[in-house]
Amino acid sequence: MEEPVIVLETQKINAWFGKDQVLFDVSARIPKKRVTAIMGPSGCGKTTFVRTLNGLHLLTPGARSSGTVLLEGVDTSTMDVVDVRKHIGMVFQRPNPFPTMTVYENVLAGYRLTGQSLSREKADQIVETTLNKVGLWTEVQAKLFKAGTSLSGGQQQRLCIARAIAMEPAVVLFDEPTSALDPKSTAIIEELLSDLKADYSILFVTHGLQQAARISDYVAFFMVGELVEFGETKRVFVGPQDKRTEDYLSGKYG
Amino acid sequence: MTGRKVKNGVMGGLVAASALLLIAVLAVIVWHIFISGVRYLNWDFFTKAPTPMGESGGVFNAIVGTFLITLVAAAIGTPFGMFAGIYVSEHRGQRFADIVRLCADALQGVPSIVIGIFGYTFLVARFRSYSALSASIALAFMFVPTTARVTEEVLNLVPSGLKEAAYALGARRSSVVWNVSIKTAAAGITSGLLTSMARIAGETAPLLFTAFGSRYIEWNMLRPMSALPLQIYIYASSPYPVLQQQAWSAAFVLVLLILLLQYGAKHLIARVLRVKA
Repeated sequence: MEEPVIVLETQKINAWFGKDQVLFDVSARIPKKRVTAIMGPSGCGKTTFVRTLNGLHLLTPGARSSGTVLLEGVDTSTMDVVDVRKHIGMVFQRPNPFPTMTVYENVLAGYRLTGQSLSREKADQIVETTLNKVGLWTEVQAKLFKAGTSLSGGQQQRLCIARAIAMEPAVVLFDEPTSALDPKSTAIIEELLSDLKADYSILFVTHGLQQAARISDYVAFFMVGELVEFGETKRVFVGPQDKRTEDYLSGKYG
Repeated sequence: MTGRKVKNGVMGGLVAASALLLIAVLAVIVWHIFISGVRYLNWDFFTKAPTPMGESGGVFNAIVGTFLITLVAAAIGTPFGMFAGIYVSEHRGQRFADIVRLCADALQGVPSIVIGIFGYTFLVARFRSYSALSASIALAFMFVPTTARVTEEVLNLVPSGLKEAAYALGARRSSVVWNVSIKTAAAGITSGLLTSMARIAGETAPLLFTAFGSRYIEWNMLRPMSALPLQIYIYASSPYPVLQQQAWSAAFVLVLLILLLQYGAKHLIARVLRVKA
C-alpha cells in the first residue's frame, strides 16, 4: 500500500480530568479518506482522545489538555473553535437528535445553530443528498416533518450521522456509535462507513475487536492513556509489534 | 406476635394514617370553602364592584386586581428569574453560581410580611402613594427566586448529550443555551412560571402595605387596587354577615384560580417527561 495522505496529525497530546492524567503524549497521523479504528480496553482514553480533537474534552469542568492538533497541516489552536468543529464532525455513543426539531431540521441543525441561513432550494437539496448518503431518504421521506426522535434508534443514529456530514466536514469522529444499537442497525451503519470514506476521513472508536477488524483500514491501539500501536489494520492484527497489542488481541484484557 | 411484627404494624399504621390525614385536611378545606363559597356566587359577584353597604355587588374589583398585580409581577420577575436560573445552570459548580443559588434560597425563605414592609418603605413611602405597581414589584421579589430555582432545575435535566451535539456542530454557547437548552426545557420552564404565579397570587401580607385595597374597579397600576386575598382579609374581619359570606365566595374563587394554575403546571410537567422518555 502506498504512503497515505495525512488529514489529521496529533503531536504529544496530553489530557487531564482534574488531577488525573488520562492521555500521555499521544502522537498519531490519521490518513485521509480512510477508516481509522481507535480501539482498546474500557477506560484507556479512546473517547477522550477523539474529544480532544474537536475541543469537546474542554467542556467537562476541570478538564484540560496540551499538545498540538494539525488539521490539513494547520494548527487548530490558531483556528476559531467553530471552524474546527465545522471541519471535524462528531457522532456520539447514543443517538441524540434534537427532540424539539423535525427530521428535516435535524439535518440542517449545524447551519441553524451557527446562524447560517440557507435558501429554501439549497436547504431542500442538502437534506435530500445528505439523507441519501446515510441511506435514510427513502425510509423517512414521508416523515421529514415529524420529530427526529420519532424514528427508530438505528434511524436516529443515521440521522445524527446526516446531521454531522451535512456540514461537509473533512473528518468525522464516531464515538462507539453502535454500542446502543441492535445488531441489524449496527450492520447498516458499518456498511455505510465504506461509502462514507469516499468523501470523509473517519475515526471510529470501538471496544470491539471484531468491529475494528471489519470496518477499519488503520487501527490505533490505546492502553492506559498511551497510543501503543498504530498501523494498517491487517498488519496489526496479523503481526502486532507490541507485546501489549498481542496480549489484547489474544483476549488477555477485557 | 413478635416485636418485629408489632413494630412493622405500628409504623405501617402511622404512615397510612399520616397519608390519610393529608388528604382529609385538603378535603375539609376545599369542601368547606366550596359549600360556604358557592352559595353566594352569582353573576353580580363576578361583574360588579362592592356596593356601599355590601348587600349585593361583587368582587370584580378584586378579581381585576389579582390578575393585574400577578401578571405585572410575573412580567417583571420572569426575565430576572429566568436569566438567573440560566446563569446558575450554565455555571454549575462555580463559586459565584453557588452564591447566587444560596441567595435565591434565602430570598425564598424571607417571610412575605417582611417583603411587604420593604415594599412600603422603598416604594410606597418614597412615592407617597399606595399603588398596585408597588405590590407587583414586592411580589416580583418573591417570584424571582422560585422562578430562578425552577429554571435551573429544569435546565439541569436537559441531557448533556444534546448540548454536546450542538457544540460539536460548531454552535456557540449562546446558541446552545437558546436553541437547545431553553427550547428543550420550554414546557418545564413554563410550568415553573405558572407554579410561581400560583404562589404569589395567594399572597396577602405584601399587598397590605402596597396595593392597600380599593372599593372601585381600578385599572391604573399607579393607584391603590384591591386583590382577592386583600378583599378576603377585609371582608372576613368585618362584622357584617353579608361581607363574611362574600369572603367565603372570594376564597372559593381564589382557591379555584390557584388550583387551575397548579393543574396547568402539572399538566405541562407531564408533557415534558413524556418528551424525555
